Amino acid sequence: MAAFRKPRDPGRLALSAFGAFWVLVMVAPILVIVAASFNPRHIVFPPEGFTLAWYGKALGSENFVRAFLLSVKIGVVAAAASAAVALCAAVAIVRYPFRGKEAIVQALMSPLLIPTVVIGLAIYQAAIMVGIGRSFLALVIGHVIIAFPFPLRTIMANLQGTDPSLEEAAIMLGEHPVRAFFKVTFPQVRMGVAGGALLSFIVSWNNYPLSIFLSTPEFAPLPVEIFFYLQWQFEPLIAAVSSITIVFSILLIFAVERMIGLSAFTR
Amino acid sequence: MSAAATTARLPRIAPQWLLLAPAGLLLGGLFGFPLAWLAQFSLTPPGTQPALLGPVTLDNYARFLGDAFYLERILWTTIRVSLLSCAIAVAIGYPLAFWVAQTRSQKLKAALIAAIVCPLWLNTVIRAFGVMLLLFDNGPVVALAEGVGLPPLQLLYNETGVVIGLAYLAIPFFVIAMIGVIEQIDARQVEAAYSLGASGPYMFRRVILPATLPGVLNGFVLIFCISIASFAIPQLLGGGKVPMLGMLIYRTANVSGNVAFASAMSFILLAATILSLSVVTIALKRAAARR
Amino acid sequence: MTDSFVSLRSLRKNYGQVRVLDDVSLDIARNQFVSLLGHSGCGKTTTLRIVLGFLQADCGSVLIDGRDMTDVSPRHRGIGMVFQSYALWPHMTIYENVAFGLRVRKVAEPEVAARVGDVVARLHLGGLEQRLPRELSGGQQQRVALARALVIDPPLLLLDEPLSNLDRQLREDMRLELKHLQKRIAQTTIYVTHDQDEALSLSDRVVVMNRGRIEQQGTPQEIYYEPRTEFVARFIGKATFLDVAIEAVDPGGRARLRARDGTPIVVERLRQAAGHAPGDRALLAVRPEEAVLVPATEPGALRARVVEHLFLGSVYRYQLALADGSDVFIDSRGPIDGGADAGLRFAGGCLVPKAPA
Repeated sequence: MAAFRKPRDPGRLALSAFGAFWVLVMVAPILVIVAASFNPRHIVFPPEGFTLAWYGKALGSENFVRAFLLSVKIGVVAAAASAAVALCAAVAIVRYPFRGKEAIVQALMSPLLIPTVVIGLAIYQAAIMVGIGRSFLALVIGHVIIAFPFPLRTIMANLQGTDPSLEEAAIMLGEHPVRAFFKVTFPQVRMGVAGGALLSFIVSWNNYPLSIFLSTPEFAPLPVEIFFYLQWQFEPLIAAVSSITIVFSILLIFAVERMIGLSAFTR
Repeated sequence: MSAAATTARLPRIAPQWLLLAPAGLLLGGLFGFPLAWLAQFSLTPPGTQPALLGPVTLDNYARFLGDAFYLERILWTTIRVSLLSCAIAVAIGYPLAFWVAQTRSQKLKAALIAAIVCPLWLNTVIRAFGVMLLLFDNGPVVALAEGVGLPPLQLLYNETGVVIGLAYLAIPFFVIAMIGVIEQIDARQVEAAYSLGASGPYMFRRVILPATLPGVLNGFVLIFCISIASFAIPQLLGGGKVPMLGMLIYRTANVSGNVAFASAMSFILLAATILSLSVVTIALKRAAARR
Repeated sequence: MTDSFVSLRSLRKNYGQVRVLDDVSLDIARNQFVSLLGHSGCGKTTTLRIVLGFLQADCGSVLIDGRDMTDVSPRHRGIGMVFQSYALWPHMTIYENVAFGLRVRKVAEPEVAARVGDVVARLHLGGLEQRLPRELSGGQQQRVALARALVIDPPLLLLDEPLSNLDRQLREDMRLELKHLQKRIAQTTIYVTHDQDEALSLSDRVVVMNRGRIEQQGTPQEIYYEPRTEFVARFIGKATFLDVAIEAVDPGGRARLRARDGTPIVVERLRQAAGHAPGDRALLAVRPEEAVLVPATEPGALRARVVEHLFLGSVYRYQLALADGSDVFIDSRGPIDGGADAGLRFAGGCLVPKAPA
């Protein structure tokens, strides 16, 4: 919808001022974290000085590096698994006729509705019950559950734009059905799969309510590690760690935007 | 000449059930089962070990729902704080969304959206930290307030901090939802109203507000459901002193070790979420049907 | 029957309660071009997909070159198919599209290049091999789809409404090209269409389908001039339908009939009169080109009143009304002068059994 052709009036200026102010407010906490990371000794306002020492400390901190790597590992595995599961499910949903499709799609999207805290507690208890406890596997499973609706959505959207007769044409010419799918249809949904996988990674990367149940002090993904830290301390070190995380997250978002656009994030 | 009666064997990529199996396994076994197990937990008599199909009792629920302490202090606080912060988020977010949606320059619009939405891409803990840095006793906001003559404000480790934090969390969600709704307003309706002499405020009240109201309600219930489940914000910004349901579930399960009670609270939280969503959905459907 | 190359035997298919195919049987001889003609929903596409193998009939069988195809998967049937949407692979070049079937069959590259080049030349696609499908026009894309199907030398070629996506002029051009091609490649072909002009102009045999059954199969001339059912008579071309009673028919075909209101009608050459006895009632179908306008005063002429006319470009189509109200359609080279009254002579006509009520 094009902008309303509203006459220029003081009301409009006031709105612009209001808007600009609040946009700054939205960005402020992030900027302030970065600013705080340069404080030489403690976090004070106004800042005492400028130093990059804390970044050195952050990159050298065993806890944070371990947490960072753990988050990356979990994220990659969860992203790959989510995308794979979502691809299979999407093909079944889009290509096959069957009753109750709406209900099944709703059910597959349901992890989005349930508070992550509840999912976290449930997975934790179930993990104990089956004997895997607080483990990499449990974390990955939990992350896949909350992340896979995202690639499901993007892949389904992509897949709906494809023409099954292209696969049939390949099959007619003698190609095996599975190979036909990968030769013909998969290239067209590649973006949805990659973008969806990336979204899964981001969801996993940012998650804390679920991860915290499955973490121990020696085995925690990055958000949980930061959370534990923040409960006791308020140091430039944590600001430096957060800044590094922020930069990493923003790079990921750019990647998603390249692949499938930001509309992927809106419900 | 054979008249073969064949089954409907469609030559497809793979049998349909096989394709749905991973998702089904995920949902059923790895999601549904833990939830069911948690439900079992919630129905376990306190003090005993949960067992599949073991004895059930509603004691845990009764403990929460029947005790004024829990109901008032926790449930009501959770709901009150969430309502307040979401109301603030709407009050700020609605005009903000309006302003962004009406920006003429596409580039500026994209930049504004990116700026508003960027907090969403970061994890909540970091966002909470950022808000803490702004609100803490020796921080910029308090300093600014003192500068204009206000008494020293205590914005952290209390309910105020939690409300501010939850509002900050909620605004980007709400704005994104509303921009979509506003962009879908039929410009011709507005132009028609203008041509009939409607002024700004009148136009807003009679044309724009009703058109966006369903979107506002949907957005509101969305951020409300997120807020009631939040626990990093109450823990960090409230100092653990503001009892909110999400936080309490975590503490009860992990710190106190009372999983049965925590699971009962989990399902109460889940019920509250589903209830709010259903109420709004049904109300909107009814309103739409009536029109 | 034994020398038929493709045989469909009693195909039946239900979707739930709906009977989509009802005992469809068809024999196609080698190198024959057969059209399945009918409205959408008549079962022609279902039949096609069963022959292809993407759909299993509930019962009945498909034989190609004597082989029962019931348990053979589509990829092993070796049929060449041109889809309605062409189904060209957008990320592959024209060459890769056409070469696909050969490469799947592990044909050596030099031979692939030779055969692709040959087919490309035959279909006038030379020079386009490195382009992508989206860079080609509709007509070119369609020829690529055809090339892709032909290059593997399939025993059977299937075409699913291949011209329906083209605009009118292009459709007529392509129709002519297909006719040339059909003569040259001499391929056993099944052609599915809802367009009668295509079916009649291209086919050796036309199979008219309606509601899952075959109404009639025959040469285009038979279908047009000797419709066996009322559906076929009404579906194909335009005609005047009159309720008549038979009085007498000469061995030469000259017939005397009576309209509903008793008016005598004379038809100079009446077809499909065999089996009708004097006194029978039947439906008379007269093609617009078989009705001749004469002065109203001519002896033996049927009196009619001019109601309306349409200028179709090549002919004027007149609608006249008989005394009993029935409509008659007649084609004339030029406009008819004279007043509203005219006379009709039927040079030819055909008796069609009335559809059961």
